[in-house]
Amino acid sequence: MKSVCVYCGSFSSAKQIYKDAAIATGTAIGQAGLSMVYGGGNVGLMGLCADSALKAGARVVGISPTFLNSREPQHPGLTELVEVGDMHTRKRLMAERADGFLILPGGFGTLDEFAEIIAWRQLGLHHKPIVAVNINGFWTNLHKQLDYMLDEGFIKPQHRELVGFTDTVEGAIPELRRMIEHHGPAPAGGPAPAHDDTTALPEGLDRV
Amino acid sequence: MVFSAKTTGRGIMAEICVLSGSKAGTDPAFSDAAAAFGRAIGESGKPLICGGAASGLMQVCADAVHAAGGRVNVIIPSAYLAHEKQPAYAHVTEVVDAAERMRIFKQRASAFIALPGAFGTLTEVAELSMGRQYGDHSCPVVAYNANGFWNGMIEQVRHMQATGFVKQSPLVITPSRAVILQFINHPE
Repeated sequence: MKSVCVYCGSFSSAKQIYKDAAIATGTAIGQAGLSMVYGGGNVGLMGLCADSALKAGARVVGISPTFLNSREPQHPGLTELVEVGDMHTRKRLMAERADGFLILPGGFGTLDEFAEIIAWRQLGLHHKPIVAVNINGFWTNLHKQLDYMLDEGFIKPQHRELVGFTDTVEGAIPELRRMIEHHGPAPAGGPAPAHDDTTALPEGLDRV
Repeated sequence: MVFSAKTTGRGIMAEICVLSGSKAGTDPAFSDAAAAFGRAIGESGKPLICGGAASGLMQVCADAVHAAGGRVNVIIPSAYLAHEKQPAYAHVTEVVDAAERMRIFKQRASAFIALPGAFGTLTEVAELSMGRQYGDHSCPVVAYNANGFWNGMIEQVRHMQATGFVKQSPLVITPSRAVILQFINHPE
């Protein structure tokens, strides 16, 4: 694993405990010698995480839609800034450029990214670990929601296992590594479909 | 990209978008509700717009729309269509990917109604809630909380609001069939 994608909120109104977690996550990524991929913003947890990763020596790559600049200004100090035309391209490139995904606290945008990266894993579009950083129990209710989907027959146990939860920032990168070990590396020739019903790959969604 | 929400399909014929999974789930109450909402959509004269009607709760809902004399519009990526045979009554539009499908939903729908579902449904609910916040569309986003299915989501959104990550949630999650029927018949 060389690069970690961080999904998180862009509101500066977030409570301090979550800001601290974002800063600690950036530091942990840098100290582990990893690169960071994220949405490229300079606000909220996004900006704090990028700042601390840069400070800890990480390469930080931002994937930023140009039209968002008014509500989510781009970070001026990134190692690499990739400008894209729409949100879907942003999400696809973020998924392509990373080897694993950390989900920090956020709002609907983060929840969208979180659910979609699991859906893509389920469809076999990628074979990368996904870990929710459950600081202060932030994602506990979503955890319950996923469990309920399992109980009610909408997802299978093997798909529920595609996302890991950790209570601490310190546990986040080790959990990503554990999941890679547990699920094995992506097979040569592309990731294996985790979804046993999937027979074909939707066009326009390249394997990442 | 800003979508012209003010000039959505409402000017011609408002379409009701139903979001759900490709599975029916184990609770018969879910299928019962999917059929009831489908019947109401069919009787309202508004077309159903959805991502597929080949299986699960979506099929139950679409069948009921059709049985009540309504029109079913399926917007589906070509690759899915290849192995998800759609009902003969469905008016199928092939698109390149899920992102194009979502663009069409936002342009044509006058209300979004989520039934129980899985990761895909959750993605759509979150994306449409964010889209409503940022003006990509101006339609209600409503989840039917059948037997507490979306309770986790209700609490998660509350927590996001309490901790400063969501200012005002546009997402309505209701256990009331009457409220869902209200949105079907009077989305505005």
